[in-house]
Amino acid sequence: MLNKLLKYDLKYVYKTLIVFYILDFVFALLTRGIRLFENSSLMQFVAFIMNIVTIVSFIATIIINIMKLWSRFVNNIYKDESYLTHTLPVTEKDIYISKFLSSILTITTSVIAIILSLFIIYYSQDFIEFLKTSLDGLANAYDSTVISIIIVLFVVFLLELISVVVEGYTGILLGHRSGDHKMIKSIVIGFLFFMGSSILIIAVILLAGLFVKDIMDLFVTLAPPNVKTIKNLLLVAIVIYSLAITFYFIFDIHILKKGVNVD
Amino acid sequence: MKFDFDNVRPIYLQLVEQLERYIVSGNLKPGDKLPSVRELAISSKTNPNTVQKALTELENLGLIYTERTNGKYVSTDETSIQKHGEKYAKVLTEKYLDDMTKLGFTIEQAKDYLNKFGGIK
Amino acid sequence: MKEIVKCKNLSKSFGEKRVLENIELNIQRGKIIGLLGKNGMGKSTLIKLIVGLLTPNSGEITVDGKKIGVESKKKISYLPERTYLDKTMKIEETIEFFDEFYDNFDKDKAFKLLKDLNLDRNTRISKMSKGMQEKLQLILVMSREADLYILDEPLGGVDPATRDYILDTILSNFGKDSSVLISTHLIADIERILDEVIFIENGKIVLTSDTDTLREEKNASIDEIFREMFKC
Repeated sequence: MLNKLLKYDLKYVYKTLIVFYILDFVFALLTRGIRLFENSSLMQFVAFIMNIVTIVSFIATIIINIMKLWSRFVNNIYKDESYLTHTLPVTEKDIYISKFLSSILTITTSVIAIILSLFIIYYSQDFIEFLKTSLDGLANAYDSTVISIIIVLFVVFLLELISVVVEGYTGILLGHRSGDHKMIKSIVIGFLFFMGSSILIIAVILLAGLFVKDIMDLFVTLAPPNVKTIKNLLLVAIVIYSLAITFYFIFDIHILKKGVNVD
Repeated sequence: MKFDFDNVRPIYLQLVEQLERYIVSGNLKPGDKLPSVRELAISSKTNPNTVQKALTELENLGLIYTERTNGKYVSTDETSIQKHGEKYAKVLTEKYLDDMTKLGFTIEQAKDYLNKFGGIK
Repeated sequence: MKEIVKCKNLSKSFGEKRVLENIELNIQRGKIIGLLGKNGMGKSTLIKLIVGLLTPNSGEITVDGKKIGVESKKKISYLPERTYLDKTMKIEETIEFFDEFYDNFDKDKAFKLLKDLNLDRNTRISKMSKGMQEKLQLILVMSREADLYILDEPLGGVDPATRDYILDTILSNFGKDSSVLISTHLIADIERILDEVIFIENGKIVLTSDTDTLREEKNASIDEIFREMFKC
């Protein structure tokens, strides 16, 4: 049954998201095309505007993605559509896992779509040069770190977005356990969880700084950070985000299993 | 088939009566197959259990019979149907005479009026 | 005859407000039962507890001997008061959806009933009137071969033609050993199809009876008996 639930959850989000992916690509292509004629001040201005439009489109993609996930969650679990969701012969656990997996999948494809669009805009001689030097130096330990740092950054960004989505779910679940002002309570609780995990991450990094001099130097000196230190920090972030997401996952299922009370 | 109910008396009794009338009046002829329980329920907008109860009652009255697996048929025993017809005739006649005597007419007068207005030569 | 639903000492509150109190209820197989009560007396709450949309504060519900869960949801086909379909779907997609999730869904029957309504299967739900959406939901619900159909206020605010359509659809599609529980406050419209009635008032069941027996006893229609009992 999980695969059927997931199919419909994905279908719902992608129905809208696909439009934004296409917009992202079209704007990226246009921006790229205009950059080819950047020899007059007018064209430079047009290129500048196109850059902004494209970036707005990227941000919209992520925001729409997250909003669609949240609205589907509320509708399916508590609003009109909950009358169907909760009378399907499926467990509450499967309902949640499906929402969780569809969040990870859609956020991942959105981030990939944005990266591909960026690639369309900036793919150039210089870019190839940069890639070449990176690859050339693959043998040497320092350069291989640059590549991996890009991958790690990507993963951190993904995890950050996913944890935001899941914090929203937790807020919705807790907010709807009370008798009134369910939506406002959902938003407040979700935001508190978001703040909480952000503070937790900074606290853990500071704590690590007490023991590792390189990390503390990030806070107390102006010297450019060592690539290796940043990578380590990002790894710490990955561990914390993963733990937080796992916690929300288990906590949310526990709450749903206690039984629902629809509006 | 058309049915008409009031909601005051038990629905199954009203169904029995109305089916009985269909049979007595010859709208349902001896040996005719009755619609299925479900069809009757839908055409009368009643519950299949109610229809079932009414049919059992009609069967007890000897007006219909069940042929295994094939469904229910109107009884071919015409004398039995006639008897039911007589029962209706008796009830209606008694009601007529009762009403007339209550209005102060004698039985003889009632008979005369029947001839006069009933189109009987 | 074995019960399809059993409620024991069931209570439900919303905050301080007690909505259902010590409900004892058995629903037999093969019957059409009316759950009758004025608005706000607890009809919908009782139904939502049975279908698993609400969780009781105390007491127990079993469906065919099992607690509310995946198994009970397979057996019960529920028509709520609201429109509950994903508005971005087309009619055909909703039928596919039901077919995928419910083993006892009869797709051919659904398409046949849809044809009788002259509905185009490519229509999007968001383009349909509320009345049409309700008819589609009735088709979806009655196309399941369920043990128990629960219809919450199916006749609320419909015209006589629609009422006849709804009653016909219910009568022609429920299975031989299955039961139908219909909640309504419009008793006159529906009483002749009922085997049994349950009167609910202020969160308590005040009467359960066979309909024809009750009519004979009181020499009145169910509607009249109900009005007499709950005069304002």
